[in-house]
Amino acid sequence: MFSKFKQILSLELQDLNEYKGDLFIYTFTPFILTLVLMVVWLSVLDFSSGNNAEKSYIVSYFFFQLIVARLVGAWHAPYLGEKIRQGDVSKYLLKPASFIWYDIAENIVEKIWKITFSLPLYIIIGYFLRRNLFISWENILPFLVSLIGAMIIYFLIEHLIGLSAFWLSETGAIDSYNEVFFFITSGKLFPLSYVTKLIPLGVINILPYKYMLGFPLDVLLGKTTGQTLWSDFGMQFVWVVGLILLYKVVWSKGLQKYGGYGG
Amino acid sequence: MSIIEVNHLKKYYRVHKKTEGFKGSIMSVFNRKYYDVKAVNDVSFQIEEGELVGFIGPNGAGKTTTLKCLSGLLYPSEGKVSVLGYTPNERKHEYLKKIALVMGQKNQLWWDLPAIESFNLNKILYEVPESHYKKTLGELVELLNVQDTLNIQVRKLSLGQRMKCELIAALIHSPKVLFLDEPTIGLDVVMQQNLRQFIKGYNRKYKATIILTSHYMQDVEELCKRVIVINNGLILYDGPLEDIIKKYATHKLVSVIFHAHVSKEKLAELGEVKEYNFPKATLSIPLDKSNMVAVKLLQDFPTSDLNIEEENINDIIAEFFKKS
Repeated sequence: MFSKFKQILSLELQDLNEYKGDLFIYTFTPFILTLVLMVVWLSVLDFSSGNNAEKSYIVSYFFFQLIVARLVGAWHAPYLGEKIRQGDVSKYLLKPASFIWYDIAENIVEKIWKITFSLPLYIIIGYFLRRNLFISWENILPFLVSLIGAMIIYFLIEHLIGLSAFWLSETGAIDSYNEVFFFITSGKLFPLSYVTKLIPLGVINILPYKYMLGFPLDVLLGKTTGQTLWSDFGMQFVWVVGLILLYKVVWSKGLQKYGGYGG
Repeated sequence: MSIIEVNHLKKYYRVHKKTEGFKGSIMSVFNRKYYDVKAVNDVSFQIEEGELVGFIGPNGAGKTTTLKCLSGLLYPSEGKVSVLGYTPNERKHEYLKKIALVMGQKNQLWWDLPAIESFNLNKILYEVPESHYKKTLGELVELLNVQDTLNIQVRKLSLGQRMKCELIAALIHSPKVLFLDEPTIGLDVVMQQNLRQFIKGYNRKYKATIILTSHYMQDVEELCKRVIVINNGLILYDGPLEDIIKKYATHKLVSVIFHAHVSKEKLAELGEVKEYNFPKATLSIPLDKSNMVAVKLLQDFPTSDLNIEEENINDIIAEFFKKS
């Protein structure tokens, strides 16, 4: 199994190299939004006379968000939807390897590529912000576990949206709803501890988006500890298991609907 | 037990029926109508090990849909399909390792990478031993004459070059059952001939069971003793190709070379003039009159050479469809 996956990884990496120009441009776009958000929130803190600890938290939160968002991200729903619509899934279905491994491999190589090419920028930005950057070293292990959970949830939600193309001719609408919810409740636009007055914490805790970004970030910065850490881990685990089960059902039902068009 | 068993296979697609134009588009939002397209409608047949069967029929007859059901890409709406004792739509890896489907009009290679990368991937996925891989690849590359194209991106290959590479990718693991959907599409005449020879050889060497669909009747004529004729999702005929030829070949083609000019009108009195470009002419003559016309051409016309041939297989099949 591992040799099969290794070969798929190698092929996906070579395939990715054919699009290095596009990829290079995509690599740097997330920096703009995240750095702007950091500046906006620092201005808000200035306006409300926030203390230095809070400023350091904001700086660290958005700086590490740049890295964590990249590590957990997935973006293959539209491509997967198009493959299903055009009948291009057939070539994968005929081979003795599970289809999902191709998307997992593509996701991994794209992340490695983007992280590698972003590294100089991370170092430069990190150098300028070094006085305000901190992490909770004792939370490193829980952070790594939460990061893996976040990757799985992110990937599976994206995958499930792509698989909806078995029933829908366009997956874009679902994708855009997903994006809106992600922006509001994941901690992408603001640290989740800041928004409990806008959105009830119960809602944020029950949706999967917090466990895709805000939760690992707050674990890394030592904001989530003790009882909350365990209950959040519990909820993240429930989402991971729930989404794996849902994926199995959707994939099996979807194949029964598959038309294999073209050819 | 047969290698392939298909019993009452049905594959229906639910299709949205939209009325023309803007009004139709708006109406379909409120009152969406569906109907079933019967792509395959109650098809049954058995194929024994080592058989090479031609699957023929016009566009939209249900040939490709049947092959897709046999290879496990599609779930049957009804009926039972068994290949090598497996149920194809369960897509067990053990099953997929024993079959291959080549679709002439669908790319299965990695589009942006050279074909050799797809071959290497297949070697690992199908768990082909290194020595067997090298031997098979070497043979196929030489036979199909693609030494110079292996390291060129697939998207930059011509249709013919790509088809050859598609075939190599499908055969790397030496499948026991091969589904070929228009494998000679886009190939030149010489390469079509090479490929036919190759398919025949593969069938003999590996005792492989092959189902072939093709619009080139020459493929079917040269390769398949047995044909299954399908139209509108129904099997119209299943049996030896020569029986169809005997039953539906109503004419013979008489080719003549003249040493002096003959008017086309005079020739038309003998039969249908298919082609006349002095000094050559080809006439289509009803079977019972072909000998008599040949004698007449030799005695009463300035004929220097004459040849009687069987009717073109395409015309025979067209006649078959007309009468079915």
